[in-house]
Amino acid sequence: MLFLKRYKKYKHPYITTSLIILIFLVFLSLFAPVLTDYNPVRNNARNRLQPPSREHLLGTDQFGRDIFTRVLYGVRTSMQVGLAVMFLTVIFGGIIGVAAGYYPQVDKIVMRILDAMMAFPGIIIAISLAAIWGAGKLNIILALSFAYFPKMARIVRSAVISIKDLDYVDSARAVGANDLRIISKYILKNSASPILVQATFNFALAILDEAALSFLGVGIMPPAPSLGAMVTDARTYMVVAPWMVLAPGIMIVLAVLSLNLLGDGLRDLLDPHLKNTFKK
Amino acid sequence: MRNYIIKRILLLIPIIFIVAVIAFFITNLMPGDPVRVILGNMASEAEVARLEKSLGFDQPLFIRFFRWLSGIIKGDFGESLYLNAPVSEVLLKRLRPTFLIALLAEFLGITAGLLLGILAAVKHRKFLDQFSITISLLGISIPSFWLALMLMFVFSVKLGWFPVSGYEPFSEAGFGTLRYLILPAVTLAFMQAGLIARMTRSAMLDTLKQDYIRTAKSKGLAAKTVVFKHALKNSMLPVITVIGHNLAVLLGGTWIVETIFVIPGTGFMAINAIMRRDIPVIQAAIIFVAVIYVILNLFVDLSYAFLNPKIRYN
Repeated sequence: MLFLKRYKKYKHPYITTSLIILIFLVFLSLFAPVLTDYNPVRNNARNRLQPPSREHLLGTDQFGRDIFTRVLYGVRTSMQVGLAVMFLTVIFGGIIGVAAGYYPQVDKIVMRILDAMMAFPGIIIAISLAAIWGAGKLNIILALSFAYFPKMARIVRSAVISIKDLDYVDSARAVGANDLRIISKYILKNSASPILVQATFNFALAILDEAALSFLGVGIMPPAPSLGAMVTDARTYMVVAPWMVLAPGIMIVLAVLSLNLLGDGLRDLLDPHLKNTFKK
Repeated sequence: MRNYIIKRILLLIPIIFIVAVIAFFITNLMPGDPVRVILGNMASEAEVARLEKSLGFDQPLFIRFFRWLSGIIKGDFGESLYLNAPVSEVLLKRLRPTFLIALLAEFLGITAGLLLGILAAVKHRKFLDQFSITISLLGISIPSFWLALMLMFVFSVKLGWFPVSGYEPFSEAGFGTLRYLILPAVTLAFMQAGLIARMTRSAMLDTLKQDYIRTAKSKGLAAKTVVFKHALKNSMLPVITVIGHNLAVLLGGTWIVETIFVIPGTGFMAINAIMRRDIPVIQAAIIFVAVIYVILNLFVDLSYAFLNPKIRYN
């Protein structure tokens, strides 16, 4: 693995920082049921809008639910959506990008359509699709994947185009390798870096946009915990319960920030010229 | 150059056509029959059929698409199902706040982004560089809706400098309109500044390593001249591209920010239309964003070709 080798050699500070934060967040989301005794969705009318205290570290919301608990489960939702969107965009974008890059007949038409799709801001496509399909985790995942895959397809396509006419691909063809073998063995393997970097950024973007969709009320449906929907609640009670707004927002920022750092770090590490941002 | 411009303008036609196809079919697949929504559950079948017919919903999808398309070519987006007015009129009325917010945000974002990016590159690996990297990373990592709420809480609720939400048109409030627009614009500008600063920094770092910069320095030019005249000018191409590509993000952001600050612009209109399935309005709003984006990017590409002769002849 090129990545591990380079990481051992250069110890990129971005990657170390981001991995520490990410592992912490994954830990929170995996062990949410162990870390808290409260239920994230059950109402407790007597405990409404309590400020932070020993029992409720981050206070409670308008239904008396423990905010710390809901934040943990909210991070879990964000991570699930982010991971799923990341994989789906790699798969869809990969297939379409390879088809367009490798077969010039497909290229013209597919690229025109992708160009047009990229004229819509991702969040607007996602809002519209979520409104069509209805709110809910699965629909959000599909809507966001649909919004992001054109960019991934373009990145895969340009990687494929830059590789497919290189000598080693020609020689593989000369010894009789078929298209499938050439694509999987020679082209995809050597275009993994830009795909990996973009996948990391898509993970970050998906967390950000899932929160925005849930905030607008077309994302994760209440009472299911979502960091974005928690900010919606906080907005309503901003004046009487200002503690509600901080924790979910900070968790979103932490998750997105660490993924963006990771993407930057990976881009540096996997760049064959290892240029400006860092060098030992 | 002229041929290049003509070619690029002709290329717009298929793209805008596909944009229209996507906008039309996305919106027509929305669940919830708008006719039923208008008439309520108690309406009789005959009433439903009559309204369907008068709105044209009884026709097959393809016929509706071409009828709608020939309408928008003439600037007619149909009638809003709720506002009792032609969509084009509604859209025009809502244009100004959105336009002002986007313009102000782009201006603030470019200024702050260039400044941060140049400082970071010139002070490479010093404190200012770290500071600028941190700010630009935060810019692309903070959700705009959350930032908007925090700004609203601090500057409107606590300090009372700006109105919490709402809008007064220029004709009534004069320059007081700005008071309603500053927080939404700052929210959007923060992300743009982050994106622009990142690109400016890395482009400047690349340029500052070039031989001609060393030559300029060694012949004794002032540092200011080298940075602004030689380096900045030659680093602008990727920065301009980033600005163009992120216009889509900016326009998408207006939907969210206008909704939070309750500003009656096109984004607020679009979100409301989605909530009540006002299909003609949604279509117009989506097309509006996409077409603006496509046209502005045409200008970006043209300026690119203007600045870099290599592209023109390709």
